[in-house]
Amino acid sequence: MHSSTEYGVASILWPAGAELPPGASPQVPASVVDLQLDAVFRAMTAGREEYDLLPVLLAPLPSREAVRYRLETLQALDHPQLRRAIEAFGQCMRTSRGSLASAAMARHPHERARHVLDAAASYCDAVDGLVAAFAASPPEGSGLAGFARYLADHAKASPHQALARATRRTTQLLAAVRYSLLIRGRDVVVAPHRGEADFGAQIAAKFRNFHDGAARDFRVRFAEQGPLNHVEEQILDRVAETYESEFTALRDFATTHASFIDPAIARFDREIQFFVAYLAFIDPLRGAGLPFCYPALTSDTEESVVRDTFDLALAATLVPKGTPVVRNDAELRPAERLVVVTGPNHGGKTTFARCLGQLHYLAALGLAVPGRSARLRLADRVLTHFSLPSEGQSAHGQLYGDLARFRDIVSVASERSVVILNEPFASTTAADALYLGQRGLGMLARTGALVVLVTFLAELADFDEHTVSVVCLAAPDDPLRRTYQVQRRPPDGLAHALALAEKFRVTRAWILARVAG
Amino acid sequence: MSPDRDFSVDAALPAHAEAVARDLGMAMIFGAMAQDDQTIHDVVRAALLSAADTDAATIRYRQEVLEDCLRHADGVRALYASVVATLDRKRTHYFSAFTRSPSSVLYGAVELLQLLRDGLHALRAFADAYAGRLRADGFRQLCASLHAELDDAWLSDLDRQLDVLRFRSGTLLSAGLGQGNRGGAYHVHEPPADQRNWVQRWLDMPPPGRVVRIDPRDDAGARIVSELRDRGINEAAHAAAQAAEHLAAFFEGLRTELAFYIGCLNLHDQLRGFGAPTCRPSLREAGSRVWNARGLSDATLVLQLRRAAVPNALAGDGADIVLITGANEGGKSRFLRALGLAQLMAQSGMFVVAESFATERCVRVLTHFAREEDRSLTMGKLEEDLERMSAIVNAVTPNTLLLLNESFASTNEREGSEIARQVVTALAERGVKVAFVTHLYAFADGMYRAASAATRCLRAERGANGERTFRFTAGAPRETSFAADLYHQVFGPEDVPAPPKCTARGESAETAP
Repeated sequence: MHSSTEYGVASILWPAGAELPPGASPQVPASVVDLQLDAVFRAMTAGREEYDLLPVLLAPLPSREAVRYRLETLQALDHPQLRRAIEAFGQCMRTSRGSLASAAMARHPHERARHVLDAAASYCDAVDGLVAAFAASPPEGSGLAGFARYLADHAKASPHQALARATRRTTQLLAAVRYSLLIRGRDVVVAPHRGEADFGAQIAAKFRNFHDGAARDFRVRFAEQGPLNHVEEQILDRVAETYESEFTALRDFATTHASFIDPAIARFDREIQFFVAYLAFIDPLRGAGLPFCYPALTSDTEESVVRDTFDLALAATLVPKGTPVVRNDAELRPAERLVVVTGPNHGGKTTFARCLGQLHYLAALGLAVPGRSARLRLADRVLTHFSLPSEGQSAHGQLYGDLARFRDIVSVASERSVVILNEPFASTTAADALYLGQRGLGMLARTGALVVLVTFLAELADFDEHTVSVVCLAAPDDPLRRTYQVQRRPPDGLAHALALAEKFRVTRAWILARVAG
Repeated sequence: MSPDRDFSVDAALPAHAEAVARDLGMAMIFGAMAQDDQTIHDVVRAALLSAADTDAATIRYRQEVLEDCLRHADGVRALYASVVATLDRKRTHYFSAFTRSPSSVLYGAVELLQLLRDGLHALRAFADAYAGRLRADGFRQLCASLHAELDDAWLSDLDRQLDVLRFRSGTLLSAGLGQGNRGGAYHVHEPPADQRNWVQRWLDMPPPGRVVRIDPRDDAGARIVSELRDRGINEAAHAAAQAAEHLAAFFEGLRTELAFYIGCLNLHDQLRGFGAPTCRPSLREAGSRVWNARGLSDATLVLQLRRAAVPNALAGDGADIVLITGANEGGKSRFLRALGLAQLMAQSGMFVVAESFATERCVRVLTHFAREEDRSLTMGKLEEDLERMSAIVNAVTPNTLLLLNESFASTNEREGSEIARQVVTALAERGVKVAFVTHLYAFADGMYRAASAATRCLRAERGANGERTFRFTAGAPRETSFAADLYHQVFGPEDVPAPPKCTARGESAETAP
């Protein structure tokens, strides 16, 4: 047997040498909640609980190499053919595990053996399907290519070949078994089937001419879970007596092939779901025309530029409703450390700041990010300070809590961190908020972190020479389409009254424009 | 209802259909056609409100079927009554037993099939009796398919199958091995027909180990066997239930298809009883701008008066815009409604209430009627007016017929006229056909003076003493004097001259009586 590490692939999530940090806690940190990525992760992992992906989603990668390793895999999977193959593989593996679980619960030996056989069949389908897909188009990316080599050799080796042969043969034998049952009161007679026609099909055929498309399903659903009951066991015994050689073959199979799942394949099955889950999550967004890209990681002496980006969590709630998603560009010049976001209420300030936080977090997971193109720094942490809704707390209590959380941020922030501050001291007077804001920004400036500050305090917009001011405002020209613009410029300090013009669009010119000739 | 597809009552109605129905007072038509039959009500409502979507072939198809129905009204009514009776019995006998278990699904299905089987025999009888006498394609197809598909062999085979599905002597199944070797993929089989006492021979079958016999005290075992049987007959019960449903749907479909014509017969009988004329309309292709009528009246008015109404004529061939002006209570709205209703009835394949009626097939029929409560001078009302107009603009396409009734009257005359001018000229330029009842004199007068051949101005006629005749003649709009009208009403018909504003196109000589 080969071991998977010989092929340079211990894990598809971490390159050799890197691992999920031990003790990674499944507790979702407040910053992930503030960025609304918790909702994204919940949606992503829904139905995939068995893969336990949350710890991976809560562990940003430490190095650019590790990010690149994942992006290569994600990019390779982002081709429909390979992705379908991986999804089919995952489905077969799931089915196989389900059958093994049933085998563990079964009482009757014929029943247990059959579950083992079915599990083996699904497992062989999983392996054969993926081998064929890899052979048809060899995957790029060091992680996937390494695993593909390992899998091909594994499948060619004789233990797997023997398993596959025995599985096929036994399955065919059992598939050919068909028996008759006569039920009369409490008596059930078992006999070989003699090939009589299906009467239900005859009924269906007779009324085909009356068929007008949609028809209800009148089948009653029977729970198929659970082991056989004592009557089913007795019937199965009679069937086994009637078809003796088939059931002998089944018993032999289960004895010979008690366990068969390769640990490296099992690990791949779990880890690859990280990528599949993300791609499945962004599918509908891309379907709605929203762009995603593979971020390029820059050093902090380079410019950061993102084009056409958007709030991923917000988009995931808007797209199903058919509501358009606002997109924005963002750029940060090399010396810029503080982005001060101002603008009117409901102008999209918080969304813009959250979006910048999400970008850095997702990039550090080695995932594609919202936007047409993205050049970003690799953040060691994305820290957030969002004012919490005060629940019966005194103003003093709230301000104290705000400050305490601010102190925690300052204590962990490094020059590689990204800090998103959303109206950090809004619970106090404007003068106090300005005072605390200036103090706080001063402390953060010393950490060297990249800070995004949403505030109504225009005075903070020229905090220091590393500060850039951006203004978010609803575009005034067309109030019916709520578009937002983010502009690099000094704050207005004005609330914008939106003008409604030609509200109902029924002037001659409008009608000529609206009605096609 | 259509040469190539089944009619659906549930299809989405075109945009603004509800408003059209309300503005044209169509509830009364639906009621008169339905005569308390909900199916007829739903079908005629759907057919009339989506009339503009009916293609030319379908209109002709329905017109021909309708003529057959008028000729053989008794036979068609009897056929409809038999279909309704079958469906009514289905409702009383068949308490939607489909849910609990395959056994009850199967039992319900067999009962229903038995019941519908009798209905099928009645259909065959109709087809046999009327096959040679009905000329329309719709009826010929129905009779032919009843003959072909419900022949005697098919009907007796059905009786045999219903007998098998009662499983009098035990249930014969076959099965394959499913998950965990549990039985699956069950089929039901017909018992061997030529062997007597086959059940006993099975029960005695050697070797003796093949029979599973549940102990009389093992009630759980008995339940399991009964569930096993349920699993076994699940597919067959499904097939039988679908067969029953298909057959029931066939009867429902037949009822739907006939309901429209029964509704037409009902309305026709009433209108003729009140002495109103009806005729088969002539429909030309969209864009031909054919639009003329003689002896036209509003069907709802006839039903209300219970006698023939004053008929109107329209010579609107070539017109894009028809403006209808004149004093209040002169029958302008009635005339507009008559035009709209006749259009929808004609395009749905019905007769119209006229001596003759020719029109183009409009792609949509839309209405913008001032709401009664809207006649005050507030911005809110105008906004509502404009908002509805804006929604209509979303829906119009070239060759839409748009009926406007006192639109934009909720602002002052000058502004209302300007909006009206912009809306109407732009719509006409985009190929929308507009009929507009209006008091907006500046607008109407301006349109009249523009002297376009595509604009017709009709005016409510006055009798010698200024009384309303409910007739319309071609003529220039006159500045309506509400004051004069009121004066008339209060002080009686004195000689009040109309304001001398009419100058264009030789109409200036005309003066008020």
